[in-house]
Amino acid sequence: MNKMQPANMMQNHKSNKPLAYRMLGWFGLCLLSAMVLTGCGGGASTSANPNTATPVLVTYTGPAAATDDIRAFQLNFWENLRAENRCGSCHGNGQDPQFARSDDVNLAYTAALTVVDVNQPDLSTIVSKVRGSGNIGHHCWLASTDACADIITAYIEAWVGGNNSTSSKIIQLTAPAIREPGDSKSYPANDADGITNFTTLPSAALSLHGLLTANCAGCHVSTSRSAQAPFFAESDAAKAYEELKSSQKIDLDDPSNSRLVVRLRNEFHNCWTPAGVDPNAALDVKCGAAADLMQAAVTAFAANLPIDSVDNTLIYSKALKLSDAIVASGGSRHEANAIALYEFKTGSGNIAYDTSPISPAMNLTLTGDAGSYDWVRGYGIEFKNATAKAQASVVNSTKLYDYIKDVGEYSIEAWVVPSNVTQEGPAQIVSYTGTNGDTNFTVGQSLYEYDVLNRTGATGADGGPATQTQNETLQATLQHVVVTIDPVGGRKVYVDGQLKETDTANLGNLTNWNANYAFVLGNNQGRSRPWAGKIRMLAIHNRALTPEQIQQNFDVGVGEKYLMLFNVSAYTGNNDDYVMFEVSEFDNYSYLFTKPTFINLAATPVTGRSIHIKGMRIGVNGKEVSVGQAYRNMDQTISPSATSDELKAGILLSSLGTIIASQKGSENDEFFLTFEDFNGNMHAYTEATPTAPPVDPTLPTRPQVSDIGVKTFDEINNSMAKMTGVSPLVTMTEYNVLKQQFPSVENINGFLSAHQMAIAQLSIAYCDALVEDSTLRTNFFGAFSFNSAVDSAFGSGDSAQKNQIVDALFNKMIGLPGTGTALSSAPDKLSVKTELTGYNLSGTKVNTESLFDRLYNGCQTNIKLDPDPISGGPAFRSPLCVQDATRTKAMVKAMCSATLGSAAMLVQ
Amino acid sequence: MIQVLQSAGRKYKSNKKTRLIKKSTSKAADTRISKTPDVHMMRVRRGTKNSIDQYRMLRMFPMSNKMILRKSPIQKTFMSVMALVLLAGTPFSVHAGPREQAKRIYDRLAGVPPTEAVLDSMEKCFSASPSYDISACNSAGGNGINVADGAMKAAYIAMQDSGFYNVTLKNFTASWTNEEQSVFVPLNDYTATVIGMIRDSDTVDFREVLSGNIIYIGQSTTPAYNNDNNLHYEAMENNNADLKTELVQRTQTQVTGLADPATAGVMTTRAAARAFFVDGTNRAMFRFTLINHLCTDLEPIKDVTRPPDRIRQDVSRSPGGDSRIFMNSCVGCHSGMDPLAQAFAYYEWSYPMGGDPDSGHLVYDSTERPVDANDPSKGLTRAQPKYLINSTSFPYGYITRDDSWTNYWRNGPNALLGWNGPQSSGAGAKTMGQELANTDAFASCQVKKVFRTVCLRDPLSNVADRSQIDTMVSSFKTNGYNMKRVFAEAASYCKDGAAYQ
Repeated sequence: MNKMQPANMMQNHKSNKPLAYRMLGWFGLCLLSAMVLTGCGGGASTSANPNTATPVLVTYTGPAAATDDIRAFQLNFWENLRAENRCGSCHGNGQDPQFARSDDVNLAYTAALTVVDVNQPDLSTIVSKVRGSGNIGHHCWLASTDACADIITAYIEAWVGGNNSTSSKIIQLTAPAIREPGDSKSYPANDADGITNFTTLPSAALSLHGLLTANCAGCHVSTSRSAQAPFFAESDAAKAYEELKSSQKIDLDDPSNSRLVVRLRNEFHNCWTPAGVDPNAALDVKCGAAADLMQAAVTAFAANLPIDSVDNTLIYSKALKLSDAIVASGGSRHEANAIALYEFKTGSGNIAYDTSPISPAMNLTLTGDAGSYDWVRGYGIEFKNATAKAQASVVNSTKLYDYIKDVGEYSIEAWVVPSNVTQEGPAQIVSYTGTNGDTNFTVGQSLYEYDVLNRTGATGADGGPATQTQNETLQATLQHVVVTIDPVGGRKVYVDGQLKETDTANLGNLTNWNANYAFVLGNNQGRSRPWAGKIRMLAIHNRALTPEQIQQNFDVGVGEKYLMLFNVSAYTGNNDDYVMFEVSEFDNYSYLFTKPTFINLAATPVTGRSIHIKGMRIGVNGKEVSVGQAYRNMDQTISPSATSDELKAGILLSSLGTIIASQKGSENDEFFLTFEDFNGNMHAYTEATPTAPPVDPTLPTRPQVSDIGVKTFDEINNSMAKMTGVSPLVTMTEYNVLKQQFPSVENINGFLSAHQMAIAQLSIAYCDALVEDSTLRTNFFGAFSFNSAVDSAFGSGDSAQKNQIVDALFNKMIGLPGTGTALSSAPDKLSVKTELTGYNLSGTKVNTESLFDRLYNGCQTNIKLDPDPISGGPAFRSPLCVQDATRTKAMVKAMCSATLGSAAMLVQ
Repeated sequence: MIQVLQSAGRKYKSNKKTRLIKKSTSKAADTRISKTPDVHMMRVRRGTKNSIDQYRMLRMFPMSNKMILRKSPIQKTFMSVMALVLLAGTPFSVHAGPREQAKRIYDRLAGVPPTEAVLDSMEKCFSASPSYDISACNSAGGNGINVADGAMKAAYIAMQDSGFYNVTLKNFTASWTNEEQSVFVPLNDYTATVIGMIRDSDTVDFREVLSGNIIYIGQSTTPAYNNDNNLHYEAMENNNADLKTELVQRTQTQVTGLADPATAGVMTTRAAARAFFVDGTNRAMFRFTLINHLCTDLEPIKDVTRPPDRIRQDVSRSPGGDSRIFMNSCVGCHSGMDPLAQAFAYYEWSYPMGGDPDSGHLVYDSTERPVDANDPSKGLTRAQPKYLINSTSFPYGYITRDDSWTNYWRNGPNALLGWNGPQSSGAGAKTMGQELANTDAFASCQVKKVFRTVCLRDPLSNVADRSQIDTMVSSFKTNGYNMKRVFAEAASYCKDGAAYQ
């Protein structure tokens, strides 16, 4: 932050009304409220009730500010704190330092300089005094001392910086206390001991192996049809144990933190119903019981394991906790025109404080069912279900109306994490809205897109039509979203610094905004538009931020950041050598490690050294973590030509970042680094060769799988073509229509009636083509009187002609006797002949319902049928049917089709 | 009743292009029948045999009534097709003779039945008796096969049938060529190349399928191969071309113009590119290559312990705000997949914006360009823009700059995939394809796929099947990755029910 550029907010304000006057005017509108005086004292902490009342000011009649800086002090700092219910009751009434005195702003300025650090406002005495520790600070007028401290910081920044600078904040790096990595439990050194514990503690059935094999073997074994790694449920205990170890699914130091337990208890992952639990019990009950068993097994496994110190063969740095780190957050955000700012630092309670320097504080009250919202570690709030919302009072919300309506432009800036990409409505993330669906502005989510509504003279009261981003802009991950509205540029949506959507429709002024609306996050006032997700930061600016300003704020990021200095002097011989990481709490479950840097804190670093740094790993609580070792392949050398300034500024080792799982929470987790090679100090890492799953010597129960199957679509088509000699091209039209009605897999269990219908239809098509082609039919059947009437062609009784047809069909489609005997695996000739003609092999009539008989008897012109079975109407006769040559061919086609479309063709 | 049927028949005739399965029409017919079911049944019983059969057919297969009467002279034969359906013959016996075994081998390999004469020849292969002339068995390709294994010799005769190529191999491969894994897709260059490589097994090492500069086209088919469409292969299919003779081997460089180092077997065919390089991030090509050629999806080979340093920026480290999902799930696949899929960094499926992806073509472009045109500090890259999308999801993720790949899965539990390739890192899809094809998993996968195709079931976990798979994998490797031989071995093993006892 540029410390000597007192560009104040009022001077930058485009409105003709300077902001201070607007503020004073607003204050003036406030009638005298009861002044709640807090006790004066020398700084002892108190627990006085919060005084959230609006500051009440008396008109200043003292000397004018002597300099521009004092003027900036007056407008941004002094006016905000001199009220009797802020600091004025003591520090304006004789108690030093009298920075809140109302008689002379120039003297107040001089006093303020004794408690303000203009270079690092957040480190000012006044800020740290108010912040205190453990939420016990010095006369904070809010319930959260952090909120008061942040507000005063904002006042100072507004005074000294103007907040429109892009210069970087100066962070003074100081050496942390030396701390050795802590101790932790490790797996038994001897695998045999581990396997014994794994299979017997607390009992065989309730041991880890017992529980896993009994309940997880459906998937977590390598031989499963739906195999899911890791395979810790293998029946072979050695293999299962190895999988468990390599995947590190149990936490020896904190059994309740084991993935095996968390997966059941919190994530309801395929829970079983333990004995004694009602099978109809709620899922959380069953999962809880299963998790208890698993946790007991992990506890038993870990109970007697010795606590080991860090492996001395490792090359490791000194250790640090987050509390040892240097806070680096703040950065150089552009907030010159922020009229509302929520950083969600409180971390508990139901108030989210507006820490902007603009009064009144538009604090949000979090409401909803138990568990419907939560605070996010590393700053933020999470809306979890439909009842949650965070809402400001209508009175305080008028700040938006007052500061935006006349200016005519504004920006909504937020760091959000949508929980999913399935919510719509739009699900309202941020809105300034009424109770009946009308809105001044709304930013919402519709599936993969952001929606923006802004009420102007050209829109409806609902601010529509909505502006929507495109191409799946919204993702269920941390995103920096900025919506800018101005009467010329229209609505613009920036995501992660990039302009995603511009909408210049429905431009207009904001004069029809409604001052009676409320500012709401995560829902609408009536809770009918819930949004699930996290908001890590939110700011409302009464300016349309420029792309550069948006990029600047995006680059700063969100959340609390720390600089962690890991001392590596043991391997360089120089006490000032560190590997520095920028670390932040990524979400409730992990830390983000970025920008590993080799740095020397000495005033004059020793140069000319070549330092090889290879294979860096991050350790937590005495052990290297298994997941997230993004620097494992790093191989860098600090050049001897690195200058003193470069070493002081730090030499970046990798541009990558990684996330590391939180284990004991940010207050207790302790971090350290290890190396394969640090300046010639080496530790060789070897990875065990995995062993293949053991071959089970016992035969498993044979599944009921058929040894035969059916032919599939192309096979059926080509089989019919080959069996009849008809080219598939002839029947291509019919085949293409039927193609997807045939079986597509060989599994005989999947054979359906619809499949057989398609087969029947295609077989008719093929036999039709066969019989209608004189060459093909002669090749197939031999000489036959296709052009004779039925009686003549087929003869009577078990005639040679009938046998000729049957023999051809049987020999070429079913039996395939060739020069040998017919296939014993196919229908025998007796069955086929009996079905087709009704005669057995000896020529005796054994079936009067044969195909031939039915076709022959059914073709009589004088057959009298029943009355119409549906209408019950008069009887009618069958269509004209003559036993002519056409009928002869039709009957051959029928016999052919019956044979071709049978299982003899289909089954393979 | 007849009026109803005839009415339906006429309706069908009036619109022949209507799909035969048309629920609305059939439902109407069925509904009319079911209005008075009892009365209807009684009256039909007194009716003719024809109407009984038609009625039964309608009740059994209501959707087919249109087709029954489509060709009036043979409409009444339809039920008789059904009559023989159940005549499946005696169950296939363990003691089935050579002729029955030969029939099954032929059916399973060629997808069509043999002629009587061919079956005679195959039957002779089973006997070493001097009285039999087994020259046909040997000349078919079984000459190197132990005389005692007549079934394998017979299999080579079966594989001379065009059906082996036009039917069995086409459908063996078709589902690999699209994300939906549908078999109902037209013949394409991916399918044709696999068919050709198996046809030429004696001279083509099947590992080339993932790395070779190889493609098969129709030698006399028009239109000629075109990078912008699939008409060449569709014409082959529509003409019922005999793929056994029509396909000829060419290099992709000759046919598609892709430079030799950029070719990687079927992965750089048009069909594969259309399916797996279209849109997205090119990870699909890697995943489906794993599924189709190593027989594993990513889920079973998840390994969260690999370093995540090559996971691209587009992967959220905190999906939905919960980084546990990333640390316990996402990282398991991406840590190994992303450094391997980087090999495809120069490939893209190009098609007109908003247009039909099928009209596009494969692009291979390694032009150097800025990572971020607005931020020169981010340097340069040769990768396609799709490798750099959604870079703000995790700005500290890996920025792809070239097509170099590294196989992290050579260590850890996935070492069990059996990596035998010459190098564990390299550049480009060709060498990465070699890395995949030189795994035990690749060989095992091909064998299991063939086993499933020929035996109509997955190998069981019993000793016999496991042993057979091991034997076939070993044989596959020692015989120059000869796929035809694998088919023959599977056919021999499943020639009767013995393998299943």
